[in-house]
Amino acid sequence: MANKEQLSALVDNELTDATLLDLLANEPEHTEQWSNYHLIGDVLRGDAPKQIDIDIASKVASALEQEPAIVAPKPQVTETKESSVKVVRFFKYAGQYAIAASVAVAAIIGVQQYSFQAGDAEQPLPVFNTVPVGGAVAPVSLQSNPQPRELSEAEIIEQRKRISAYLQDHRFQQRIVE
Amino acid sequence: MLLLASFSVSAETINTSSTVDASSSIVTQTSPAISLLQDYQQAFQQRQYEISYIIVRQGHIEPVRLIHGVVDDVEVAHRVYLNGPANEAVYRDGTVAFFEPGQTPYSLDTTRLPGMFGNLAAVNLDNLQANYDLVIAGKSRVAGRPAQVMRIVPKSSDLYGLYFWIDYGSQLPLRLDIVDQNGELVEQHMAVTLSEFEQPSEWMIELSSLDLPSTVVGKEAVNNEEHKINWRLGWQPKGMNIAQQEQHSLAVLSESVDYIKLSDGLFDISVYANAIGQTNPLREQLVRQGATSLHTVVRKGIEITVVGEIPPETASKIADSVVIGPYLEKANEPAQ
Repeated sequence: MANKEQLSALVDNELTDATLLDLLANEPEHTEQWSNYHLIGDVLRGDAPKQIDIDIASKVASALEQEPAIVAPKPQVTETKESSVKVVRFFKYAGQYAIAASVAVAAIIGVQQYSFQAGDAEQPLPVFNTVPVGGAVAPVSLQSNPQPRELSEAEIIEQRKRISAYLQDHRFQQRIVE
Repeated sequence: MLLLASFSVSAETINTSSTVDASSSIVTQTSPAISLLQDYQQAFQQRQYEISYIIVRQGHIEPVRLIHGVVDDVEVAHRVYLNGPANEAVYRDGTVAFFEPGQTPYSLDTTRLPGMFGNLAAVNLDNLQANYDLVIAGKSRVAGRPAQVMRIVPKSSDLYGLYFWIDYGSQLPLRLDIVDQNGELVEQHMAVTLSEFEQPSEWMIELSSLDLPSTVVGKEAVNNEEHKINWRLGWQPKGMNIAQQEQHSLAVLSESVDYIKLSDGLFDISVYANAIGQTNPLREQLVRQGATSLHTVVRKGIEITVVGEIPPETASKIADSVVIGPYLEKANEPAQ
């Protein structure tokens, strides 16, 4: 056990002893200890390597993995009851992201709507410009056109019928030429 | 190579025809625009040709084909709307048979082919000159052919004007734009292809002997009954004269209407007065279909409808000008 103290001191650059170094090089038990101490030091300083292939290191690594899980959670994290605190934290973050994202979407939609409206404004429909659908005619607005109420569908159909009747008769009369 | 050859040939014909035009105009003292229209009217009625053209009304495009020929000195023509339900007209020797969706086919005695090209081909040039200024406006290219452009400008601001493109070589129509007072396009008839033939096509020969629907004789189709309602026009565009005044019944509505037709030979206006009473006070309507405007107003229980190839403002002006007298059993002689 005294060796462990010495080892620790050696790792912390507080001891330089040739015999201890020999011991380290030749005895596998000490070699393992040496490496563990370095690892502990690294972990304490936050310099832990990403992949550690010894037992203790894997536990440390798994502990570390909980931390980045806040940003990039693994699916099973949400399933464990122990990690409910972290889940809450995760959702807290996710909620913020969601809000941020929705703000971005709203901004895009807003821009699109704006540009759509701007496009509309650029080409105001000429007063009499209407597109007949399938040879039919469409009403055009004229300032002298008072619109006292909305017409019902039946009235609109009746109106269209009358209009096409007059147009048809006009065409017929046009064909009668002296 | 073929294209080049045909172009050089047409270029030669241009040269010869233009020199002929120039010399003839010196002799007859007619304006070049008038002689060009005369050439057009002759070509349209005498040549063998096929024109495919589109009619554009407010962005709505209607493709049409017109085949024309003279078979044994008899003028035959066939006009077909290429899209949608079959809508055809066959012209033969002063009679036009109409085959239209939703109507039994009928024939009419008439001197002109239906459509704007036909209107222009049949118009009386003296009358036209009285109401319109005719100006040659330059050269252009339509349907791959060199064309001469002509303007027909109304002397009255209440009517539409025309731009008219005539093929150099054949004097056949290539394009016709109906424009408003500001030069804005209202309706367009534009050729896509134009082919000429030496001999009438087989189809023309077949049409020349085909049985057409029984004829409704032109002027006699006009019902000569007097107006029921005491009314008259208060205003009409300058150059437009009353061509017809009678009473007939509307085909679709089977309602009897008083009718006045105004015409300047190029454009027509129909004015209807219909006693609808207070039963059906639908709101005032103003609609447009290409160059055709329709305006309906209801006053004193009488529905007045103006339809014609006129600007909407003019249609409104005519409708608003109508004077309705006291409602009489027998109408007074309507003042003109």
